[in-house]
Amino acid sequence: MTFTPRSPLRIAAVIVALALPVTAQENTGPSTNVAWTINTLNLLRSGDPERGAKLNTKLECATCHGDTGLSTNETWPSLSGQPAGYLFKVLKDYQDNKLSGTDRGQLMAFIVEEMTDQDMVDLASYFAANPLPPAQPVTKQDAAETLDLLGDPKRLIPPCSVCHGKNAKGDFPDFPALAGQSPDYLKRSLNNFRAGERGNDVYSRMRLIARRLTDEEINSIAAYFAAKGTVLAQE
Amino acid sequence: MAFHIDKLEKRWIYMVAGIVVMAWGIQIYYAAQGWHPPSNVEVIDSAQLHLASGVGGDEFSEQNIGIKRDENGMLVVTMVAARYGFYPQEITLPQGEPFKMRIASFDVLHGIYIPLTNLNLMLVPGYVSEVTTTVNTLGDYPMLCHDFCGMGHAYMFGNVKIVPADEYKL
Repeated sequence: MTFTPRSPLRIAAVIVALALPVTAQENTGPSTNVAWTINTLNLLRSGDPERGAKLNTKLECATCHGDTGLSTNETWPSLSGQPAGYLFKVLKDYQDNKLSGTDRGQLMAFIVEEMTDQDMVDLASYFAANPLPPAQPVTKQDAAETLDLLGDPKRLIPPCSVCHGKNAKGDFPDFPALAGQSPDYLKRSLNNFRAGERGNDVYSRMRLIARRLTDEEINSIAAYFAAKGTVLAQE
Repeated sequence: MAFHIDKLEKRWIYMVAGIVVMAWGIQIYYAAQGWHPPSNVEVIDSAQLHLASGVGGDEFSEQNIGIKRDENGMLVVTMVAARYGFYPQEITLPQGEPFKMRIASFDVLHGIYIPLTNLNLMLVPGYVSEVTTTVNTLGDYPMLCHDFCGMGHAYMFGNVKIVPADEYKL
């Protein structure tokens, strides 16, 4: 199957994929096939941002995720400023059907089906080179701030910031940035982790945390990290 | 000699030099024999701990961690230390029965220590740490990481519950 940019066939395929009923696949193998070996790290270093910029248009990532990886719509996540390792891992997980527990995961699995590893690292290095999304309006979120900085030892929840980085900028190799991300997406991700529909976190690290969070905390976390973003993250 | 060294000073200098030479001697002697820190030396590919493809196989994959009995009926606790927690996070073990702890790191240097017991291991990436021990006192214990592993080191712990042996179910 070959696609030309914005061909009617491709657009029809995306619509069909979106309309498919969710058939949660039983995930039997490991959570992810990506391992941070020397070979993977060398592959990641070989990423070419210029080719990535071209692929962003050619493969129509830009249609939903924006020209520079800055999503124009609350419903799709922004990719701009994410650590390259995270972007590569997630693309690989989509391709390996590790994220097919949700309808969006299945849509992405369909889109990345024919991508090569080199395409993935090129795209990853392009989005990683762009700045984090701008901060959304700040509201005081006490519950989320406590979880971000101190966690909750009684519930075995480590602080968000120890893995996701100071001001949620993300961290090497595959800890995603949360700063400035769409609150809809953050909320959806946490709920998917909690329900086990998203399970590409090795040793269930995020699933265990998400199961111990209350609905109020999830809402608070989504608003809190959305309000970080470029301005705060560059401090 | 142009300058005077007191007899007593000389004696101390010889003693210190002797201790240094002896320490070197012990180090070189044991290094030559290939001695290493206690416990077993068993290599594993920490980066591919969750996959079957790395050195050491998939003993520490997500499906295989937890508590099992081996062919001799010995309790074996297979655990993984990853930034920032021990997985499984909470384990239950019987009082007074020996168990074998086998644990490996998924990423960086970690440690595991259960206070008031003699379970205390350094978890070096690339190696499997193993110890066999028994806990004789009932109660809830923490598992603590005692080797600085990163920003979340202070938050890295899990829970161990020791229950009477007759109430223990695997």
